[in-house]
Amino acid sequence: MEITHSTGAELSEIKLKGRMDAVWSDHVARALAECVRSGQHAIALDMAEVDYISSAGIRILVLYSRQLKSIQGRFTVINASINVKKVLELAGLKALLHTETVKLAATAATTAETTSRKVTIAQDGATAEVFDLDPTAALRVDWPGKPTPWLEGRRDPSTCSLVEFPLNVMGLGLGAFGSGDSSDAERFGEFLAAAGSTVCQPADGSNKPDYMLLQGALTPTIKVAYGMLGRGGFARLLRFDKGAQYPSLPLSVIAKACLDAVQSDAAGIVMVAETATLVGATLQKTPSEQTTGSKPGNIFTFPGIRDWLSFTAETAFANSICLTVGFAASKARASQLRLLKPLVASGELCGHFHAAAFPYRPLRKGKVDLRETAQPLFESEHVLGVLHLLNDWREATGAGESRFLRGACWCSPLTT
Amino acid sequence: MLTVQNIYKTFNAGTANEVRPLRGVSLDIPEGAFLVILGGNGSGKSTLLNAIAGTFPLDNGEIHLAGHNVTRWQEHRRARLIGRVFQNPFTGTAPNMSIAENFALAIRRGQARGLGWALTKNLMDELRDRVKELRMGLEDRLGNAIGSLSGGQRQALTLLMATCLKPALLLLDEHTAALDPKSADQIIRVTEEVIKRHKLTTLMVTHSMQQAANLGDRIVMMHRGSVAYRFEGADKQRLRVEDLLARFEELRRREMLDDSVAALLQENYI
Repeated sequence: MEITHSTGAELSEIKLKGRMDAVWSDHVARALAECVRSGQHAIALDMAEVDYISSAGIRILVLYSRQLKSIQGRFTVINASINVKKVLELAGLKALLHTETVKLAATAATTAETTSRKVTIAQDGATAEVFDLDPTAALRVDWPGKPTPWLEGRRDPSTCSLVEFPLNVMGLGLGAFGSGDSSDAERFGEFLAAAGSTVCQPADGSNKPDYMLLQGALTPTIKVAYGMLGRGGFARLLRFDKGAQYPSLPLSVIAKACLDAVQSDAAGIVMVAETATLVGATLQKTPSEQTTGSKPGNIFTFPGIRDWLSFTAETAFANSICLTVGFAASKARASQLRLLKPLVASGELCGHFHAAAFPYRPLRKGKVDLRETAQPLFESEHVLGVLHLLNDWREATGAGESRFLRGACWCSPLTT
Repeated sequence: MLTVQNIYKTFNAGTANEVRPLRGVSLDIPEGAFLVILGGNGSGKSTLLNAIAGTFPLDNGEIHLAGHNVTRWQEHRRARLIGRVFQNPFTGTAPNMSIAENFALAIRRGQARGLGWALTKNLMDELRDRVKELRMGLEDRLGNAIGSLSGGQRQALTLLMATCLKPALLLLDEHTAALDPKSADQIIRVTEEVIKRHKLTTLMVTHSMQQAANLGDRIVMMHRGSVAYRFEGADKQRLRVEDLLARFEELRRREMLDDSVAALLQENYI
């Protein structure tokens, strides 16, 4: 079978020639997956020269029709040969067929949306669109707990606070789920929370992130050792895409674009994005007096640090989708806020971001709702890992920044 | 049954080629248990097996086997208690001798061998029954030279020979690594059957995570000459290949966390 691919501005066309049987269906599926991954959500499958289709082939058509429908994309069979047409009609899948034999007119995902404005972000060719959500919204920041005792191995349960995460609270830090008994103390690890979804990777050696979702009257609650919270709504939604020229966009560029979008020098950001790579650290063990032993005071001393922290010194979670929660601020503003560290080597932009990675699934285009985008990730996928994102700017050997392909950022200016 | 206490070994000490394949390894295998040792290249897993077999003297630590302190026993003396199958199918058998002759030697391992008829009718009958259990059709070829058999067939026979005396400990040193996938599967099936039938205490070295996940009742994961992880009981039963891969990834990340990363984290983590 021959599979040829042509990409238009709004529509991608895949032309097949040959038999769409069990053997070739897999290859067609791969071509479709690649197309979706490259950001094309409107796909036309030209089956003019396909003389046979088996149920294995039909399965792929149904699968992609469903997947693209779920992200408001579009999947159609065009120019179907007589045989294909007959099979699809008999199978009750006439809806897949585009009846006209001419090329499909561009009917991309962008339906009648509320007005948005296009913005350019630092890199040429990278596009972004800003939607107004609630222009008056802002996030009030708060810092529960204290990091120093924890990171010096002097953990102090009295400074922990139980924090609820209803829809309008976002946050990150070091936390633990549990009923509140003493065993929770061993479980404190990186967490992030937004739009009623809270996920935490317990530092108990299991490396399995656990999560709690807002469901009915159940509000996620987590014991926080230290962290940063933002309470309130989101002012704007920024949709970004790496464009054709660049392989991916670094976190700092996206964070800067968010600051610009909310016209502030400090912002709270929740991002759902297709990931090129994540770079960051994860706590491996909850520091405590017993475990730091004879060397209390600093978990960052080499080589002891290897017991406490794991760092992705090379590409991790490539081609995944991630939910990222964080705060960004200009250098001047960051000095008035807590827990913000330089995002770039120059120190001009500061921030603190945690990300939870999931297996890849495409993201709907246009103006999307945060909860409707974030919660399904937990419901249909498993969490691969939670990372505290860091910029590895070491010369020559550094892994660089976390990088993204395209995504959505909900952001608001910060107030104290 | 087997206790390995804090053993150390350094080769070429004090030279530029110094390697420290064993850096304080401890193990405890109860009777009838099946331990799988998993590790990457150079992790020390084969050296550990050789240390138990007595290939070289230890720098430090002790090894106890079947109630004896065998730390200072020579390799040939330990051979009475230990059956071994090697990675190379050409090791462990005499290629120019027939299957039956190889067996006759194996059956007297550790004993004095006099000048009598080796291939008695009793031995041949017993041998035929045993070889039949392999279900490889070799029972009709007992007179053929072992060198004329395929690698898989040789490994199966070596396994039979290593276990015919019901050793106190069976050592399997990546014994399927040199075989094609189909033969490897067959040898794994035979291995499981033999171990189960004779309730052998077994220590198997492998770098196949598939084998590690499916075989044995405990796993020790080696890294840089020491034990990085141990899985036993329910933990072992739950273990999947992906979990093992994740542990390897963890070890690799740990390795890559050097002092420059430590400085970066100190500066920017909080």
